[in-house]
Amino acid sequence: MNTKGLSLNTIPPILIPLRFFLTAPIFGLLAASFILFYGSELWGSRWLPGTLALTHLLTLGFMLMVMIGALYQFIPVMIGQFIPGNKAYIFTIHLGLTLGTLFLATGFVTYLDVFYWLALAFLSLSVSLFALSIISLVITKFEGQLIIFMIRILSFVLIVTIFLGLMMLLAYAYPESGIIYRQYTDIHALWGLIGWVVLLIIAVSSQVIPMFFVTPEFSVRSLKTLSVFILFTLIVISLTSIYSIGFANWIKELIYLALSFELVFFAVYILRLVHLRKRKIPDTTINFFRLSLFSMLFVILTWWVFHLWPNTETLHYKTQFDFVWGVFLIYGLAVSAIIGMLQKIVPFLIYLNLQNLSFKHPESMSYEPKLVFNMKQIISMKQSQIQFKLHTSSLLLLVFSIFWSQLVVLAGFFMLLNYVWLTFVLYKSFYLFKKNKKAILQFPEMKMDFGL
Amino acid sequence: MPKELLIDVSEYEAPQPFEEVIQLLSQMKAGEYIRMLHRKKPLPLLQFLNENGYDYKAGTVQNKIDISEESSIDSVSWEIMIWSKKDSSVNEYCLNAFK
Repeated sequence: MNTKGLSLNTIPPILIPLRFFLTAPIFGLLAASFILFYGSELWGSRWLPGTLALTHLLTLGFMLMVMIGALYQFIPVMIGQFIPGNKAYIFTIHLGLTLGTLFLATGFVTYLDVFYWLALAFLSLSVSLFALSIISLVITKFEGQLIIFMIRILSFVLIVTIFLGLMMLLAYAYPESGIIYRQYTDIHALWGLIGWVVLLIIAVSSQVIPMFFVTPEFSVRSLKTLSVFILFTLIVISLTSIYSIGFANWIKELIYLALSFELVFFAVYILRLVHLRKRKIPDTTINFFRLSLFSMLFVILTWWVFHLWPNTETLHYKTQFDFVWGVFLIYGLAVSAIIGMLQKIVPFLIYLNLQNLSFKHPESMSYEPKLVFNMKQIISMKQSQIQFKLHTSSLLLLVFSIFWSQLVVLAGFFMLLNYVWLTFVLYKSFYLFKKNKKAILQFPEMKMDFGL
Repeated sequence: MPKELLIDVSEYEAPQPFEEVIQLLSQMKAGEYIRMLHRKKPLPLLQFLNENGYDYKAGTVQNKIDISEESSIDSVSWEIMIWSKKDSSVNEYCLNAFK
């Protein structure tokens, strides 16, 4: 890409991504409160209202919320252009996702149609606006850039996931429509958790990991091929299950095997790159990525155990393992990677914004103590370590609580602590930013001149 | 002939490369330019240079990275020449030499 002569826009106004980052942990707090309120009842069936509400508080309220914010931050740094959309446009996306998720959870819990309709309206508005702006950016330009290629695939995957979700929501809101939705639930979950989450982790980690951990660069060709394979496999699995196309069983097995290989390749590939970094400086955020990938590997391994040996003894635990897989994919794979990513990208965003501001007020640069924080002053190693311990303990406790229901309150409590800590760390970062921004603005504004 | 200041930030984690080169720019005297080696094309830095009276030329360099005693992988790194547009003799030299 030739950026010469173009005006670059690499640093988004801080409130755009931060608005999403600061809202997301509140949904985590709500989700943890749900666990404390409902207890082990939640692990009774995946169709229970509380369980559905919990799942969507995490997947939409926490995961999608952070991911949208991260894309608003990352795309400009990578390609030098903002995602199109003015303040009101982005505000509508944020508000729509926030209210839509709250209405959806309320709908699941109260069974009142009006909340399903409200959720349908707000979520479809929010996701359509986001998809439109991102598609308009990546549809024609920036050939060859991995991040753009990945975002094209991701846009498609997000649209499929949300479309299936909205269709099921319509069936809830308007039962007379006769939409048979249950057969789409697994496909919706597959596109959301394997498609959107895994592909987004590939896209984000291919940028974040070499940048913050100084590993060798990801191979663009390998990642492009892998992403296309994953997408293709998801399409084939969906079509065979929707239309019950009469494929021989061995072909279906082959497709599941292909998906497993693709996911294992992706996990091993990232773990190897992290291992190959030259300066092995201890960094807790790497542990979040490791936890995320090991969670996925555990799911693949145990899924095959159940799949290959469906005897009475294993089937006895099948319902519990459905939940174990759900917990590991949502809270293990996705939430771990997201919390790990936040430990880096929030300080980076604050650093870039303060640095940029201090260039415009150059006298502030000689002020002591420095007004532009380094990243570790914004979220310290110690704070990340506490976060990692809380997250890992809550993940394990959640999994154990599926088998030993008396642990569920403890699991909910640790999950609450995990999100309380995340909320504290993120809001404190924002407070530090605001404090030092105010201090920098006290100095006169002028054009930078290094004395030449 | 202008004096070259070499800075290799290719093994630094973000945002240290940015910090290091800004530090060096603040010390750069008349008659000097910077050759920066980096593993990425640093767009936020290029934006800063555009907006603050500097010019640059960014290009890629192919090289091999040793990952163990036996093997290495091909890698692309970036070489970015940075100079002040206000330093007329350096500006003229760099425009001829690098563009």
